[in-house]
Amino acid sequence: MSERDARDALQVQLSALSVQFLERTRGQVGQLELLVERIGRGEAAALLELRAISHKIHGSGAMFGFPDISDPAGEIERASDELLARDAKLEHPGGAGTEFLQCVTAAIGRLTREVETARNGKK
Amino acid sequence: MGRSDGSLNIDTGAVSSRLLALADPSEKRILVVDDDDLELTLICDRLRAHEFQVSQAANGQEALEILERQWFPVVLTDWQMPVMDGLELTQRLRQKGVTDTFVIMLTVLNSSFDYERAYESGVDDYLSKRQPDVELYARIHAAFTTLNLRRELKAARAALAAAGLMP
Repeated sequence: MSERDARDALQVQLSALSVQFLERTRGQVGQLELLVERIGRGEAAALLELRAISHKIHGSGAMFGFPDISDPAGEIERASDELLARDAKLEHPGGAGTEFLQCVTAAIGRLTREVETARNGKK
Repeated sequence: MGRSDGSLNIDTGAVSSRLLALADPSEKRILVVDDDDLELTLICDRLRAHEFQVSQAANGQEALEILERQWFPVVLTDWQMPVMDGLELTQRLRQKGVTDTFVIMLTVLNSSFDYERAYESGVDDYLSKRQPDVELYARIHAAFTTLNLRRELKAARAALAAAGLMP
């Protein structure tokens, strides 16, 4: 195989992986929406899940070259870390608080749009 | 455990692979550690395309087990992973006295506090997941160069000591 053929083959492989990444992320965004609802009801375990999934998207988005997907996920991760440091069991009155829920909901909205934009670009 | 042809009578696979690598310094083996299947495939595919010999592990524990059997000049590891993270993997390696493996932490964490923690744990280099491919390859080549220089320095010191020229 020539160097050029090898490069083309790699591009095809990487492109297929990017499509898989976008499909997976689309599913994860759906999970994030459900987790925010659970956090709003005071379920502390959901906060850890939210943090874990957003961290994954934050890292993978960066690796796959989608900074516009990585950034909002990073915002959710940071907001989760701050809340975990402050009130991991959501014991304070009002639980996660309106500010946290609004911030995370807005970031999920951006994430949804960016994933769809990237998916459309791949089609 | 030595080679099946009996040409090396040494105890562990890791030691054996060190000696073989010394005989062939051009051997470009890398162990990639990441809990994310897609990211792991992405990194390994890229590195293989650049003719590195790549092995993979899904977390720090799995990596340690592989490193018990075989020595790798370079380990490229994620930080946050279940079972054992990249920081603990590095700490365990250094506690075992493994200094001839160059550890590059590849992560999305990027505060100066994170950098400091990683270096204090024995990480040799730190690379953001946002860096372009060219930066990754440059750092990996620098890692191999550094390792070769360390080896040459060690050999030179040993030669000086043998000649009675070291204090």
